[in-house]
Amino acid sequence: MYSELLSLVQTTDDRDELINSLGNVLKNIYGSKEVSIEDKLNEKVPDFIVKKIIEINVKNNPTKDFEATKELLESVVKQLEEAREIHLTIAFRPTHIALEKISYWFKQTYGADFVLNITFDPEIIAGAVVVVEGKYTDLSLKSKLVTLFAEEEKEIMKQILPSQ
Amino acid sequence: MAKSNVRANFSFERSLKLTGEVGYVEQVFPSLIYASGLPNIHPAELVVFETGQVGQVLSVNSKLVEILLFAPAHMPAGTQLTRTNDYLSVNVGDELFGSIIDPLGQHYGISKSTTMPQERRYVDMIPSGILERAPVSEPLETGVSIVDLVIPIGIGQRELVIGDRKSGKTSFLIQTLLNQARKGTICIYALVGKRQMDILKITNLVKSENISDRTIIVATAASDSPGLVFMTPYTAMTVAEYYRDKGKNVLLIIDDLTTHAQFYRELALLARRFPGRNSYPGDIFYIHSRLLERAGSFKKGSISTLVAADTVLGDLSGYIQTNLMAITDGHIFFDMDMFNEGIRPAVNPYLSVTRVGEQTQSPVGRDLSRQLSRFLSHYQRLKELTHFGSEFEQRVEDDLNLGERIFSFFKQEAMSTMPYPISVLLFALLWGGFWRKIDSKEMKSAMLALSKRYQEEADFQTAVNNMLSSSNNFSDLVQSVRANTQILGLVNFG
Repeated sequence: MYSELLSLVQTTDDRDELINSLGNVLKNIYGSKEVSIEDKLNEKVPDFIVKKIIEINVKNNPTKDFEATKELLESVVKQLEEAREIHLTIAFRPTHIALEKISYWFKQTYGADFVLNITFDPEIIAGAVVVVEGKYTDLSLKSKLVTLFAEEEKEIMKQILPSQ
Repeated sequence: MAKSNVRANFSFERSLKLTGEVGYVEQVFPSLIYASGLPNIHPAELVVFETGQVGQVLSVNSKLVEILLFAPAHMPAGTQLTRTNDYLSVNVGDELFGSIIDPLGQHYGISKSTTMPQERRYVDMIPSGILERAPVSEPLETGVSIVDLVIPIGIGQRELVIGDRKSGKTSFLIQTLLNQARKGTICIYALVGKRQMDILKITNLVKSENISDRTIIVATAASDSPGLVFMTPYTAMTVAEYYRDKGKNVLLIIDDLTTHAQFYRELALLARRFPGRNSYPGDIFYIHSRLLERAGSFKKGSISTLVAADTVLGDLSGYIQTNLMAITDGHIFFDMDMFNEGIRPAVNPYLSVTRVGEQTQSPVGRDLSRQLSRFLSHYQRLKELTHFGSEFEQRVEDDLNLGERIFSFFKQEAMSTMPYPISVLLFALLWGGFWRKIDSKEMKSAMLALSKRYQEEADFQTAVNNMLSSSNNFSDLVQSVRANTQILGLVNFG
C-alpha cells in the first residue's frame, strides 16, 4: 500500500522526519473539521511528499471528506512506522544524487517499503556492509584485505621484510 | 564475583562470519535484552554481542528475541549481536576437583586457576529414559544415625532436605558430604545464590577435611546476575552426569532450590510472563523436574541428589515445597521446635519419608527400621499422655525412658559422622537394655567410645561387621550382642 509514497522516502532520517511532520499535522487538525488539511500539510511537510499525498487522496477520496483524509494520513504514518530497514555501512558520506541512486537500487531489489539506515565508517575503506532483515553481508574492502592477508601472510611478509 | 568468561570461547567477529546473521539491541533491562533481527535464531541458543558479552535466548517471537544475560548489561540500544549456532556448555573433567566453578564453567573467585578440562558438555540436557535406569538397590550412608536407621536413603535416590532457616539442614548436608567423600564417592556441591561467606566456609571445609580430590563446588553468590544463578544447578548436574557416564557413583547436593525458584521468578516477572500462584511462572514445576529427573540410579553409575529447600515457620504445604516433595523420592524434615529443644540434628522422624530407601537395607536394617518406627510412633502417643501429669505403670515408664534414650542416642554433633554398622550395633545394645541403669550422659560417652574404637581398630570392626552379617533379623542381632559382650569387650551395665 502507498508504495509510490514510500519509494520517495530514502533513509530512516527522512522517515522519522516525515512521521514527526505528519504527526504534527494530525495534532493540529484534531477535533477541528474547519481546518484545511492541505494547508497544514503545506506548512509542515516537504512539497514533493505533499504532492504525492494529495494525489493519493484524490484517487481514493474524490470528495475530499475530512475524516477519510485524516484516516489516510494516519494509515500513511502507520505504513512509515512499519517500514523495514536496511542497515548500510559505507566509507563515505554520499551526496544527494549518490543517495538517490543507492536508494533506488535497493528499493528496486528489495521493495519500496525498505528504507536505508546509513552509517558512515571510514574504517571499512571502501565497499559496504549490508544487513537486510538480519542477514549480514560484508562486501567491504577491509574484510577482503584481511582475508587476503590471512591467506597470503607469508608471501606478503617476505615482500615487506625480505631479509627475514 | 563471577564474570561471564564464555566470551573466551566466542568472539563476535568469528560468530558473525560463521552465521552471517546480525541483530540489534532494542530494549535493555537488568538481566534481559530484547533484540531485533537474527532470522534463524533458536530458543536456548547462545548469542554474542559486539561488546563481547554472551547471552542465552529465552524466547523468540515474530518481532523480537528475548535474551538472558549472565552479567549486568552495560550496552546501549543499537548494539549489534550475532548468533553462535551453539548452546551453553561447560568444560568437565578431573581437573575440576578441588576447585570452585561458576555455572559457565570458569573458576570462581578465590579458586586457584588450573588447567581447564578439554571435554565440553551441554548444560541443558534431556533426562535419560527408563531403559538406561536401574532400581535403587544399595544404601547411601549419610553418617547421621537417625537418617541411616529411620529414614534410610539409597544410592540414586533424590531426597529433599527441608526445614526452616537455621534448622541444621546445611550441617546435615555437610555431614553427608564428608561421609561419602571419605568413602571415595565423587561429591558435587552446588551453592545457589548463597552469601560469599557461606561459599568460603564450604570451600575451607573441603580443604581442611582433605576431600578436595573428590569434591567439586559449583557456586554463585546472591550478588551475581539472576541469569547466572539460574543456571547453577544445571551446571552441577552436567558435571555429575559426566562422572556417572564413567560408571562412578556421584553425590550431588543442591543448596537450595527455593532460592533458585525465587531468582527464576524474578527473571520471569521481568520478562513479563504471566504470574501464577505466589507470582511464580507457570513452568516453575518443569524447571525443577527437568533438573531432578536427570539424577537417579542408572545401569552405569548413579547420581544421588540431596536437595535443600527452605520452609517458613515449618509450613510444608508451600508451593515450591510441595512441588519439590512431588518430584523427589522422599523428604527429611528439620523441625525448628526440636532444634530449639536441643535435639540436633533436628530431624523429625514422624514427618520424614523415604520412598525407595527401605529396599536398599539389609534384612537386619529393615527389621530395625520397622521396629524403631513403630516404637517412635508409640513413644509420641505416650508423650502426649504425659501432659496430663498422672502416674504411669512401670511398663509405660520404661517405654518413656527408652524413648528419651533413643533421642539422646540420635543426637550427633555437627561435622561428626557415625558409620552405619556401629550405629546398628549401638542401637541393638540400647534396645537390648544394655545401658538401662546408667544416665544418658554416661551412655552417650560409652557410645562415642565404641564408635571411635570401631573407626580405629580393625579387629573390632571385623567383629562388629561379622555379627551384623550373620544375623537374620534385628532380634537375632540383639541376642547375638548379648551373647558376645566379651568379644566386643563390653561391660554389661544392664
